Amino acid sequence: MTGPDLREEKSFLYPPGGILIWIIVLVELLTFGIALIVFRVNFHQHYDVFLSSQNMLSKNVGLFNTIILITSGYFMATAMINIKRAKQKNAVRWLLFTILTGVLFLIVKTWEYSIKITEGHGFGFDSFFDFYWMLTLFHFIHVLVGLLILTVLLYKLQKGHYHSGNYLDVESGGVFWHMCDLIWILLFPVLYLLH
Amino acid sequence: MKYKSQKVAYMFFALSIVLLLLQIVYGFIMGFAHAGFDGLHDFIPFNTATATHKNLLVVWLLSGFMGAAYYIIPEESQRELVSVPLAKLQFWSLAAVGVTAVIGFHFNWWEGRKFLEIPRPLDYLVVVNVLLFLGIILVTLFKGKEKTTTAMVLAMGLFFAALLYLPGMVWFDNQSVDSFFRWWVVHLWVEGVWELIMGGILAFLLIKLTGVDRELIEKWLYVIVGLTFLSGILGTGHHYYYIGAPKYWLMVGGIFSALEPLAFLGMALFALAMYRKGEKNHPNKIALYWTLGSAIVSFAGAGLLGIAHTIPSVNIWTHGTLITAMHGHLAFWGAYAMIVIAIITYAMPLMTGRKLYDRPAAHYAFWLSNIGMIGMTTAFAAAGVAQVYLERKVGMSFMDAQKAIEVHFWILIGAATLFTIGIIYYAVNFFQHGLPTDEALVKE
Repeated sequence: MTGPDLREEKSFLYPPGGILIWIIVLVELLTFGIALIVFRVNFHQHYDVFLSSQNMLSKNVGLFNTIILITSGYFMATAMINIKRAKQKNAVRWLLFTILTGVLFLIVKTWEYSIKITEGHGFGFDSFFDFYWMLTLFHFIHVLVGLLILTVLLYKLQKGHYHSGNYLDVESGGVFWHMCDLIWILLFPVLYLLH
Repeated sequence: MKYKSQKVAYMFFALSIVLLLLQIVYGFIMGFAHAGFDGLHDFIPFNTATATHKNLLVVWLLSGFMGAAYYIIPEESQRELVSVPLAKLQFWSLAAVGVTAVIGFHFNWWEGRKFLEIPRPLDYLVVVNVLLFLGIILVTLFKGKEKTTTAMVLAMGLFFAALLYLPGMVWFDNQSVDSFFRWWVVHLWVEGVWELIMGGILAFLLIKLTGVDRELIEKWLYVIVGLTFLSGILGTGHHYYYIGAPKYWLMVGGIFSALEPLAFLGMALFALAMYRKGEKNHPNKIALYWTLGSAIVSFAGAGLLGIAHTIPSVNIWTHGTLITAMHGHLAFWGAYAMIVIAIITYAMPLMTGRKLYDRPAAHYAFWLSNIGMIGMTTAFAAAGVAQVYLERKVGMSFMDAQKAIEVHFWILIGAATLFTIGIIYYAVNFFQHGLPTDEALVKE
């Protein structure tokens, strides 16, 4: 990763977290975007099947998870602000909260998955559930990877490796984490709510 | 050339060129058969010719990759190869297995699985051979002074390519299941780990030829190669349409295949950007032509012509027709043939001390082969579209449709002749370099 000297140029090529992470964000959004469009097209082609299957999803669980992830995103941003203001201890605490809320999301999601499986609505049940599993599992993996990144960042932050003069890695980790939020915010209404 | 042991690369490069010429011969046999002149049918029937044509391609590309590794790894890790005799043994055994396989095809000794025709006993020999190769490369790399990103990515690509040979050696009773895992080898090679190998060679060449900072090239290139690689893994889905695999592959294959051209576009734009940034004073211009050409033609062949038929609603019509041949020819030529030729073109003057890159022959080779290949691709496209229409829309039988599109194969043969003249120029220029010599060693 590039050092802070380049970032201070405020160049278009060095947005927060560096340009490389934004390329990843762009490609991710494109992928999920295409998938969601294909999903909507299929929804209209097989309206009745999709509608009845969509009604089997629990909107409350989905909403709860949305709130958890948005909260987690807020914690991440707060941690970032604290690093920039050289409040190291606060930063560590907020980053820890970020990770804990992320884990909570995975727990709730896993619980939701187990209900779906016991109900028999697994992968291959119908086209709607194929999309549901594919999209949410991809997102699940992204959250898992995000948590892994945040854990490494937390460890190095505690060791004093990152501080108000060196935080580009934390910033790019944060961008990845916000991307996980954003994708979920797209998935939730399209999968759970829109008819 | 900085290390004596780099000379061993020459043997692999020479084998590549010879097998490429032989591959072209089998291409012509099939071209003429399609055009209605199948005089060799009793000796080399179409199925033998097609298997030989494709397997020769794989073997000469692998030989080129191995040569590239024997040239690049000592230079990047700053030490001699651990054992030149073992590398030579590996070369001769590779050549022996390759020749045995090709001769065997003419006596119906094969497995009959498309692209993986090599019979099982030879499979085991291939495994031993590749293990020996990997051993030499990896030990050299880890004993070396430096472990550069370029060398690591190249070595990783070669390692995973070896690993992914194994799914093709498992026995399945079910045709669909067999096909499913067959693509793990074929697809995950060409749209996965081979791209790491291509990326490693491309990075090495760009660093040497443009003079742009190593750090910059390595950082950017691997983001792009990484994207290509990731979209390629789930892009395997486009081989799972309508072969008995579950329906969700239509969705997965369609979506991830749509991303693949973007990654290739990134690679082409990146190579051009590095060229513009570079000093442009390296004398071996023609090596740079092949390098940039590889990045651009792979975008056209693998990227654009790939997406032309990987969308499920298109592929339902074009699956298994000459449209695939259209894509296959330009994709393999751009992505892999050109990068192997690029590294050979770069390395030969340095290994032999003979600077033959300014000769007209070197330029004829580049332009004629590329124009010829684009002509061939166009002929395949025209034939493919006509085939799809006649056979699948009008409902003609396979052979009647083939009869109706015979004329396109004369165009194909014409373009292929141009291509072949280019390759002959290249081969002549290659062998005029002579053998590598220690006199070409450069001390830093």
